[in-house]
Amino acid sequence: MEIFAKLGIDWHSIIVYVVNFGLLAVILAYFFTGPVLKMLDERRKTITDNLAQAEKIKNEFLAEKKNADEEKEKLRADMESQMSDLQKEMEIRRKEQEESLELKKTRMIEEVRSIVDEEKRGILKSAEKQTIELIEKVVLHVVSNNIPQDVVKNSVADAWKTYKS
Amino acid sequence: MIPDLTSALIKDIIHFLKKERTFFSAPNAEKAEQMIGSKIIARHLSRETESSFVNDLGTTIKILSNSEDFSGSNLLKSLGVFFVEEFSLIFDQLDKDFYRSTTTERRKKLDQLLPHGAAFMAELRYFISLYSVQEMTEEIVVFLQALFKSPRVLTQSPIECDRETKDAIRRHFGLKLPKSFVAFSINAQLIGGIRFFIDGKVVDRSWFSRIQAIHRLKELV
Repeated sequence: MEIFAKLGIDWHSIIVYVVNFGLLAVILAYFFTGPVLKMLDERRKTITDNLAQAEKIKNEFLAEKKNADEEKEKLRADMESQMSDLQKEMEIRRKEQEESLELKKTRMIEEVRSIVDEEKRGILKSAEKQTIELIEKVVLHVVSNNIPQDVVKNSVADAWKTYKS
Repeated sequence: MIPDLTSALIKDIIHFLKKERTFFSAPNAEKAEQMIGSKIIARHLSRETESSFVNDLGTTIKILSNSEDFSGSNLLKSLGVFFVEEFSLIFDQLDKDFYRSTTTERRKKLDQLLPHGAAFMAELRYFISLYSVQEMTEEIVVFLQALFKSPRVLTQSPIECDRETKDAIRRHFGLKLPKSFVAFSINAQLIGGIRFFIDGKVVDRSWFSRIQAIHRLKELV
């Protein structure tokens, strides 16, 4: 006990201290702890509620986002599909047009060729006719003038040779 | 013409046989030719026997009297061959100048071309001097058609063919169409070249046909 006395520890003080502390604890417990606890509970509850709400909102948001993503994906797929269809159709139309142009080109070339051939034939025919007319004129001119008897005689001999051969 | 010539020929043969009684046992074609004037007929006679000749003579007379089928008589056949092979050579020498000359000049020429023989040759000379080329040719062609069914061959030229060409033509048709007598005529319309009518078919190598061909070509173009 002297040790405790040397240390300054007084059992009467300690008891007073303990009673004091006890009294304080009771008062605090009665007046503060309850409300504080209540407040803390309320706060906890509020926080929990908020958290739950936030979680809910977050989930809703996520769900919405997922829907939106799905919608977006669907739209994107749609669009891609439409683009692909459009491209195919464009390709088909392009080919059709090319074929049509090619056909037109071929027909035009054929028409031009036939016109050219027709013109050529006409020119040849005309040249042929003129040549024959000229030959006829020359021959008639030759035979209408006096042909030397030697020439006629030779013609008989030549014609005979041709016939014999 | 043919009956008269045949009669003259028979007369010559009988006259000859009277002189040459042993002819059929020892035939002498050269003597016969001197008398008759034709190598071919003399050769035919030298191949006959007495009996065959007499039979043939009877047949010939009957044919001439009744104008029957000539092909039954060997004498007429030999006459036909005479026209084709011997007479044609003489006939081709009768050019346009001959036919333009007087009768006296013609007879002189014929005496040169047909010197020997008796009645037959005399008859032949007579007909040549009397008939035109076309008439003589027609008589001979008809005779040959009756005898051998020979085709008609007519050669047209713008001027008279020379002797060589005529010979060549006769030789050619002599091989191609034996026993045919080629007739020659002049057709100035041909202008040049030559044209043949062979048994109804035409082979035209004349200048006129070529001019017509040019006309036709002009119409077609």
